[in-house]
Amino acid sequence: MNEILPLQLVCELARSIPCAPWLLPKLMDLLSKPEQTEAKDIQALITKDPGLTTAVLRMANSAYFSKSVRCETVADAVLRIGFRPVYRIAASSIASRWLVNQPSGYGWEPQDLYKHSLCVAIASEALAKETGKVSTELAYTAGLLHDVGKLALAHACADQFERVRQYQLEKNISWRQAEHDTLGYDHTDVGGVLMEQWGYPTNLIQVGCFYPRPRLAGAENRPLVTHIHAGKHLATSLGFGVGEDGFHTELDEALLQETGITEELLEKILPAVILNTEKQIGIVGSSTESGKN
Amino acid sequence: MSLVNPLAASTTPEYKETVVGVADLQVVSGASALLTTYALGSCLGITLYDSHRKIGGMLHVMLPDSKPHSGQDRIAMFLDLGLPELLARTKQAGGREGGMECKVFGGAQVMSADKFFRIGDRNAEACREWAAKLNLRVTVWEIGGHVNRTIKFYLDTGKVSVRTPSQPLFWR
Repeated sequence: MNEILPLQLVCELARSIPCAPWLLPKLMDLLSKPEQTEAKDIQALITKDPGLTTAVLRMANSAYFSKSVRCETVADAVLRIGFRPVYRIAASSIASRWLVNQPSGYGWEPQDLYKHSLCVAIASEALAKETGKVSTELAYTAGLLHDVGKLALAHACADQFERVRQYQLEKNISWRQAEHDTLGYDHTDVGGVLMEQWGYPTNLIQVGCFYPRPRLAGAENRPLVTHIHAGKHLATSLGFGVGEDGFHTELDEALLQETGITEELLEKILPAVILNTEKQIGIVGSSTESGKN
Repeated sequence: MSLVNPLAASTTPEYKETVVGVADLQVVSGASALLTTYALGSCLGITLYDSHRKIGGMLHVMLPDSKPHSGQDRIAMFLDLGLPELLARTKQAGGREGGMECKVFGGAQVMSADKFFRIGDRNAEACREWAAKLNLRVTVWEIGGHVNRTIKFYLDTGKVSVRTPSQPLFWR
């Protein structure tokens, strides 16, 4: 077995993962100030990436999003279907082509990380809509990106996973804790460093760092992190794209209750989460070919 | 999709695969039929099999009880509606009541969820109750634990392969 790599080197190696999602925080920034943002600003940003432009237009004109009139440009799409749906299409498209290029590790099948992240995003968004405590768009984006650290860890440290697996079995602890005890860091440490390097806002960085242990998040961002914690629990229970680490997770039941996220609420949203996840996997699955780079 | 049974050594029959989605049920017939469902998580994958007539059905069900979800019309989402429907459709296809074998898979539980949202346990409990009500002969309960299961049900033998992440495949 090879030597354990230092955390900084793991993050360095992650630079070779195709298409880091650097556009997302910039799009989120525009979304946060709709009164100052025009369709051409969004078009200017999205068209910096030709593959993304094609994917956005294709999806904006698909049966799921399209109304009767065809969108010829990104600005058309913004004007006709609205910024939020365009943002949603762009976020899903970026994450899909990025996450489907997953390395081996965590016992993943092809596209598992993307399917799981999409289900967390949809569940977190549905919870945000019910509680009214965090922005639905932010919850969706944070859910989509919460596991970036796993992608990097699998990319750089796949040869260490047998050691993590054995240690987790022996100690019967969470997979994250087993990573930490075995490697000296875990996927949330890696995710936090990567998001910081990519210039992500503090709220998303806190999600990457603390989603398994939301009490550690700063008070301002704790509601968001707790929603992702709950969305993750729901998505894991459903099984979408769950790897070998999946069911060995941490759960802060008391904090969920304090935040107003009850079992009844999770059960209430579950059917819609399933149906929307299946629908979006179908849509994005058919568009990822053109989006790969 | 055509697949080859990994257990068959000298003769390698080809199978016609039907994928059962989440909250879905399918009934098929013939020795070359294969039913597959992916990533069960806390959901249950339930098979019914008439070995003489080579008729089989599979249900991928998510929730134990339809009552709190009156607006939902997808009956395979709920065990109390989906399991009777699976039995009815398998019988309609020619499966003989009393001559069928039932197997149950899934119902995993997140490790640290002591009490909160133990949907896997609730699904398993409801399945025991409904299997008894419907007089099903359940020969396999491959349920619980902290693991995601993908199952493949081969109608030539009635065997079900179970695959979990990073572990060898096994048969039930």
